[in-house]
Amino acid sequence: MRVLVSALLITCAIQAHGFEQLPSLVKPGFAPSTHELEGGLWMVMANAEEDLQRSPLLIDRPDLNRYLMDIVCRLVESYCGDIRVYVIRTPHFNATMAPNGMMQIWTGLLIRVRNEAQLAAIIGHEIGHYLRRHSLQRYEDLKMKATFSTVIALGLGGAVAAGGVSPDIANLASSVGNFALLASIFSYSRSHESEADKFGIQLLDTAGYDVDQASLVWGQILKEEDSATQKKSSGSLFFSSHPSPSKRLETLASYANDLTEHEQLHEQGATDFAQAINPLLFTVLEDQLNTGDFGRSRFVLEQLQSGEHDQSIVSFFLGELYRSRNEEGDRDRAAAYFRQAISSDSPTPQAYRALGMIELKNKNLDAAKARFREYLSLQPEAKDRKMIEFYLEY
Amino acid sequence: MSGKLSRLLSIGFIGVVLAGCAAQPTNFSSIKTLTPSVDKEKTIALMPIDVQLSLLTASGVEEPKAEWTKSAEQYMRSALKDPTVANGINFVDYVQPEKGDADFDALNDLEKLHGAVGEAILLHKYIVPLQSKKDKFDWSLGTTAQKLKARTDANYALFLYARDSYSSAGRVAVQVIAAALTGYMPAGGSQVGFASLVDLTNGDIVWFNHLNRAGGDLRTAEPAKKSVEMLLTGMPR
Repeated sequence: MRVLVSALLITCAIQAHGFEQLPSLVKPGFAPSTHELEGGLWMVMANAEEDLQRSPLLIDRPDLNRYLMDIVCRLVESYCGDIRVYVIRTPHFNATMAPNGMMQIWTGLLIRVRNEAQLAAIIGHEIGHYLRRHSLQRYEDLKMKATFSTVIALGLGGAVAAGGVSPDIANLASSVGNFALLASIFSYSRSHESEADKFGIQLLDTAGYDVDQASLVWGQILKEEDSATQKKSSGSLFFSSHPSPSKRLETLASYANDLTEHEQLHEQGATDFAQAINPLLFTVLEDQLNTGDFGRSRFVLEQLQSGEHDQSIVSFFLGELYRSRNEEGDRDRAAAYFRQAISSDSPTPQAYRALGMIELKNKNLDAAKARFREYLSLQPEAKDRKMIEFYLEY
Repeated sequence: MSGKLSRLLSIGFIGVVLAGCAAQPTNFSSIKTLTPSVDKEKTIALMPIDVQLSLLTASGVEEPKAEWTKSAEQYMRSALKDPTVANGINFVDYVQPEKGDADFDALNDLEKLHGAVGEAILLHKYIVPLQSKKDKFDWSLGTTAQKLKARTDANYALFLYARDSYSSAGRVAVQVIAAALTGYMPAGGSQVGFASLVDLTNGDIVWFNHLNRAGGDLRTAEPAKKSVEMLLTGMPR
């Protein structure tokens, strides 16, 4: 019912503000004929999906998958049987969609969006790629451009054969031709990204999520880039397959503005989101710290401090961040975060261990032993139990 | 496009480029005959056939074809069951384990490993030979292969791999025009494949054969059978 109401509200929005809704180009339950090009692309992707299902990088958590599928179904109820979500253990911000409805969400994304509405904005964007058949269009465009390039190359070849153009110039012209072609292939895909952004926000709106969250994601990504220790090379932007984050932020904010002039449910879902992420938060943050980028890791962790995530884990990794940087005063900073971590109702056992190590370095043997005992009592199956017991007998 | 796919396409491409200039090397074999199983049968576990067919469009971009691939897989499989091809060998279909099976990861890894090893052999022994592999053939999948033996009761496993592409009308036109104008003929459709026999007691690859030609057609039963026969040429019996 709520969906129907929201859909009607969008109709009003079209009339009032010119937010023109993009229709889906795929019917629910669609599967292409094996005789067609699309069937061929699906075959290739089905093989890739089979590989993915057996990948050691796949995070196989039924509870998390159910949570993500619930978001998919809330965004596009009639397509929820056509889309499959896989969480992949990779510490960077990304999500992808294949032509057959296989969606991948990287774990690095899960610690960079702040609530369910932001996550839904990304999922909605990926669904947009699927429902607007972008993969197929991109393949056909690529094929057409490659054909065009072949024809140009043949034309130049003919001119060389006729003695009109020196081979060097023909090579140069041919490479310039390909250069322009490459740029145009990527710009075509940039227009797909913009379209998917728009599709995503319209799904967000229909499902009753807070539409302002879509642009906030890009604001966060820009801030993270500013605080990064290792900046992404700015030169690669020319060939980047996506519009710039600042451009996306601007466009999404203006869509949100068009959409929110009406009374809507403004749901952010911060609590549900944090609860769904908490069981894998430790692993994902560990991977983030292992990237070795102090600036990015600090940004991500500080952002999580204002969320509803397990704060003991967040504090523990802030401690780890400073401990591993090991500059002047970092040991004390780390100790303060570890102490914060153990003051929680459900303390992270590793924080006791880390505090014990710091006490050991500070030559407080008794205090160190007390921390180690607490660690082992909380984590009797600890892999490093033998080593810790060695310290206890010291 | 996945990294694996593009790598395979490039192997196919290199194969096509070099097909004309390199003499076809003989296949490899470290055994003369097969050791029969306990029931005295010469049983070989037939692994899932890794086959993909595509249309080569005018510009050389390959278009994967699901329908052709499906038929090719069926034709190749039934060719192996044909008494004239099997010739006394009992090929048993290997059934992939279900998720949750204790050997699920190990057997999946083994299949993947074979894929990587087979491609490496094709590339580094035959298509672009490596100096370090010139006088030896020491590829092995390791002792995990014993899990496959326990599961199939076979002493050997056969892996088949094939990539087959067919020139579209546009591609043929490009070939003709380019040849006329420049004297250079761009590649047309081609058939690249290999067969590899693994000894399941130790995982060693005991026999390997490959195919690399401009002809052939896996889309129809008889030529597909011919390709399988060519792939199995010289296999120890």
